[in-house]
Amino acid sequence: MLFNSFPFLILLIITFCIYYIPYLKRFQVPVLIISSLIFYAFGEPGLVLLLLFSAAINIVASYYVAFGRKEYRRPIAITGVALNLLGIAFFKYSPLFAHTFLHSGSDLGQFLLNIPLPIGISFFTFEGISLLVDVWKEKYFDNRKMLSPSLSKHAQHTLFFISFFPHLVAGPILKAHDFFPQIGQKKFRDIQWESAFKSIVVGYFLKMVLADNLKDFTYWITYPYFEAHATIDLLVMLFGYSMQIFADFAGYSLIAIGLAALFGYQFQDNFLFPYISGSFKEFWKRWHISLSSFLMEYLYFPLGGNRKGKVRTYVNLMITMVLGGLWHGAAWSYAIWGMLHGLALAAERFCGDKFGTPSSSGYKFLKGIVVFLFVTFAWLLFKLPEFEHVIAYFRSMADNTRLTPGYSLISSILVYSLPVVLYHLSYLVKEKSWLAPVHRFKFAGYAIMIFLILTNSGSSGAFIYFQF
Amino acid sequence: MILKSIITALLGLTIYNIVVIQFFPNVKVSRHYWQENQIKAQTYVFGNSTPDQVIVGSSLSARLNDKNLPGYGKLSFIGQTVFEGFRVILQRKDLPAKIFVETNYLLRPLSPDFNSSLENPVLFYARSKMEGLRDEKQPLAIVSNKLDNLVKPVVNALARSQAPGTKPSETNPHFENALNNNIEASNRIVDSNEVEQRFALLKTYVDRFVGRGAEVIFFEMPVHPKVAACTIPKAIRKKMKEYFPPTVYKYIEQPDCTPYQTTDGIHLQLGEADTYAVYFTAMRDRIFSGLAKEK
Repeated sequence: MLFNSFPFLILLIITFCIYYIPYLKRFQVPVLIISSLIFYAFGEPGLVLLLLFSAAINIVASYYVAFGRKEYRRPIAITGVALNLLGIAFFKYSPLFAHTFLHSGSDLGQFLLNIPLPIGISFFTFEGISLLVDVWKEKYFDNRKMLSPSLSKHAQHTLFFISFFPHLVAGPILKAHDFFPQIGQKKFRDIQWESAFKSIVVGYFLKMVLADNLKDFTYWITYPYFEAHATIDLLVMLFGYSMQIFADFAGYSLIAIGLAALFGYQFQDNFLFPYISGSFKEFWKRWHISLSSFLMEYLYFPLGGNRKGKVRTYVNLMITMVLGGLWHGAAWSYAIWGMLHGLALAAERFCGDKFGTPSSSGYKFLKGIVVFLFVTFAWLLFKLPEFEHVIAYFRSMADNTRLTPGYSLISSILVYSLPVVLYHLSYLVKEKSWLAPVHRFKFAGYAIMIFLILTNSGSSGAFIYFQF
Repeated sequence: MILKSIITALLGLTIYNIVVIQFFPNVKVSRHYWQENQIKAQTYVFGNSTPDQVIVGSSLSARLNDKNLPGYGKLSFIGQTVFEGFRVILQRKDLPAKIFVETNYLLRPLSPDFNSSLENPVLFYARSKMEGLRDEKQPLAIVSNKLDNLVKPVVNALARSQAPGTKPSETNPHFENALNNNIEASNRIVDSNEVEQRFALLKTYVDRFVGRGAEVIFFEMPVHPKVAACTIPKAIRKKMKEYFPPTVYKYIEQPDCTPYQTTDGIHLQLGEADTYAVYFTAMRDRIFSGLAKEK
């Protein structure tokens, strides 16, 4: 079910009304679980069983890690994490395995290629792993205080954590230590209306007005259509795609944050104006924060982080980024994308160690441009998962200098990208004193966004991150 | 703050509608093919009267210039099939007297999203009452349309551009590539069950139209001769005759494709589209004058 569909609106209203009925306040969590399962089942009901199976593994494993015999904690936690990884490996990476190692005509090859990709599996698998590791390590909370000793209550809370609809299919990736402490009865009067409103309006604006329109202009990045476009078109389309992917995913995350707030739950920011980043490290602290912090906490640190010498630091960085790349999709282009970012991070770290980091604003500005260009060109690997098509795109950029540019394509992309640029600039100047009088008219900005959502929405498209 | 924002937005929407109706009633801006499709569909659905004759098809018949076919409603949607057009036709109470159905891309996947916003009762009602909510009046599309003239000199200064104009296919370096891609796509293997299902669906719609008094006429757009000879077009022709025998149903047969070079193997060049429009009109006249004589 899409956040920008009418069935979702109806489900949301019904859930919201039932959720806050005083007589039913004991059933708030089950109400949200049922609503979330309906939300997930809407497209392909059969795949709910997989979600429930994944949740069951994490319920049982986390319960016995927390309350079982001490000597079994470690093996149960490892088995639980391994089962999560096996699930995602089977459903998400079997086609890649078949493509790479098997003949597509073979029975096994055909079987693996036809395995359906359950929507959101990358997200709920990582959430399950987060629960198991948090319970095993007890780094953030005391299991006996945080988790219910009743198996049925624990099952309810875990299923709720994994399936809560705002984050279920495209994140943000929740961590158990952030979410479990929040589970409890919520009151209507405690809703943070203003922050929920702002998140939802900005989120829908980014998604429905910007991303959904930009997608119809950047469509021509598809092979072989881009071959017939002029160099300047290709550059502008790539810029537009960079804006689109931000608007699409940041939009989704903001809607999720706003919806969760309506039910009394707080999700952390998932995007913090990433295109203003002055370094690759900063970019990854601003882009898809829930994934990068997950990878940092549950992969990079356990690998040793930067505590085991320089060479191991670079190796750990590369492993983390390549796996982070592959998390996005079952194609080698995603691994290459991760590797490129890993190399950029490693090079930046190496140069910083060797030559130091100049603190002049001119240097920061120039580096910011380099980071933006690098990130933007690397998105091409997202749009064109076939590596030879990426090469062909660059070849067309070099060859098509004499073709007539598409003026309307360029002006449209610029118009629909401008709000993303302004959104980032607004963050840079938000503390300036000369802006103080403007803050009184913030409502006008939200009014314009609502107006444009009503009058200028693009065709409803699935969120880009659904495929991950 | 929340209330203020919502009230201001609704006020803005009301003013926008008044301005649009009063000062820009004829402004229709489409910036991409999806928008162009939606505008066509909304123009048809919200139009004052049902056209007497309607062409339903894909981007192939979308090439036909409206000036060459006056009086026709055109529901030829880029990237879509005739089935999306059928659903649009059924949104009006009255059917057109004659429905011309393009048969080239009958097997293309259906688009579940295309009709969803048009068929949504809330949006339908809102758009029927407020023109400002229709796709042709999107404010950012209008702004970017106005920007074209500003962008042009800047882009020309940046790019070593050729004079604008459509390149003839013979000199288009990507023509061969595009043609080969279309030949490959038109020769792919198609699941026979899917073909049967699709023709059954077509039959359902046609029977429904005929049952309500409309005449259905099938036509196949000319394409590059190499594409016309591919397996899928041949299979479609064969199935068409099976499901819709020419003794019962009317056809405007595909003309000899040899003169049609096209831009990419399937889409006619502008001049070719004009030539075909003449053929189409003549064939239609022949069919209906013949019928008139029989009567």
